[in-house]
Amino acid sequence: MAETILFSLFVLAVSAYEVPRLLRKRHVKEAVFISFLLLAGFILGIVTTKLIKVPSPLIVLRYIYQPLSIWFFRK
Amino acid sequence: MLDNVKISIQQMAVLVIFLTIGDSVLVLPSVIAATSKQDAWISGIIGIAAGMLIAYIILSQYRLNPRASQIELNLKVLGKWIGWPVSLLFLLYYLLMTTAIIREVGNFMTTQMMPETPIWSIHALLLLILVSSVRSGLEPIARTGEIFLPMFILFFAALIILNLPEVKLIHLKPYLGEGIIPPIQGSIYLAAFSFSELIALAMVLPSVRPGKHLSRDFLLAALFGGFSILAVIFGTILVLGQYITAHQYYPAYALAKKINIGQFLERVEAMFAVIWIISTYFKCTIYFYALNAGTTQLFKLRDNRALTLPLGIVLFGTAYAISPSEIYYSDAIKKYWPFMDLTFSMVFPLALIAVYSLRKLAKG
Repeated sequence: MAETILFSLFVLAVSAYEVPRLLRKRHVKEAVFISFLLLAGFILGIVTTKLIKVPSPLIVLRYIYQPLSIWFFRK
Repeated sequence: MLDNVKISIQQMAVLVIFLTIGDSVLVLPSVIAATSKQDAWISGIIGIAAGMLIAYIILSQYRLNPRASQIELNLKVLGKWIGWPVSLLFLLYYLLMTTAIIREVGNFMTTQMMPETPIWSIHALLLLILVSSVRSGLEPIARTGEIFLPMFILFFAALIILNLPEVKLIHLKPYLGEGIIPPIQGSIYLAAFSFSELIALAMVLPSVRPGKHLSRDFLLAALFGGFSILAVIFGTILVLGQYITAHQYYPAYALAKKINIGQFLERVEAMFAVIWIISTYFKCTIYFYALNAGTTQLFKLRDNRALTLPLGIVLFGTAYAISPSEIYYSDAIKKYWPFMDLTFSMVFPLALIAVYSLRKLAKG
């Protein structure tokens, strides 16, 4: 519980620091991009640290390279 | 070109050395020994030969247009419609690579040195350092590399030399006991984990001050890194034997634990852990820099410093997600990761070179 709150506070602090700075410089596209990235990171962080089963990115790797791997490492 | 930073060729060579040695020295001997047992050193030699070829391919891709980074080259040579998905794949590759390295450091710390520490605190610390490094830019990173290199080489040499009293040549027998196929299978790990992962430098090379000896220094530094890893492979096989090397997660750490000179110089493994964290940190920083710079170039953003903290937060989450269990992670690394490395360091650069040459021929 404490980690979640800490994490959320951190993400909020980062967004409060970065987004106004970008908007002040009139970099709207960058501000939108960063807000999106922060949101994605926040959701991902909460989901993974709460031990909800997120499929590992390595599953894509396995799907693509399994035939090649089986051929290369045959005895 | 980002920030118009220029680093010297020596600094680039230092980065190449750190990237080649990277986290390979921690995990590579065990992975190679699992496949080729006592012939891991033959795997090493074949791997270095194949790796130099890969390094040459990466260099040739750089020479197509020395002022363009990987992403810019993708977009220029392949055009918008093919270049964009390919560049996105590269960004995902950098993301995956950074995640894996952060996870490696976390695993190492929590299994070998600080078991009671929650892994997220190590990830958070490493991410804070990474974010502050990349925010400072490429030049401080290169200068830090120059500062750390002498100490790194000293400790590395000490690791090999202090273990020489315990060497048992019998551990190398039987030579080619299972034929030539297992060493060839094992060589892909060295070629992939050490040399293929130099592809991130394609994002850094445009910032290097061009000079006469760039290619020569690049290849020499890569060779030096390769030979250092060969030395560690020799060290682990000769001292520990192939069974322990294959079954330990961090055989070089076990090697450091074995140093015992007259009951005076012992328990020095923590110092070696520090230098490995340093070389792993440099690899991680370069990949994070590549991710940061690549995202900025692909999406045509104007500010790349603001991107570092959000990317760091995303990496925090992916570092958890990549490894649902140690068995799953280690199995995926052993079976599928080398091929992904080879795809991005051989298939894509060769395709780029081919398309570039064809376009030049077509233009007349």
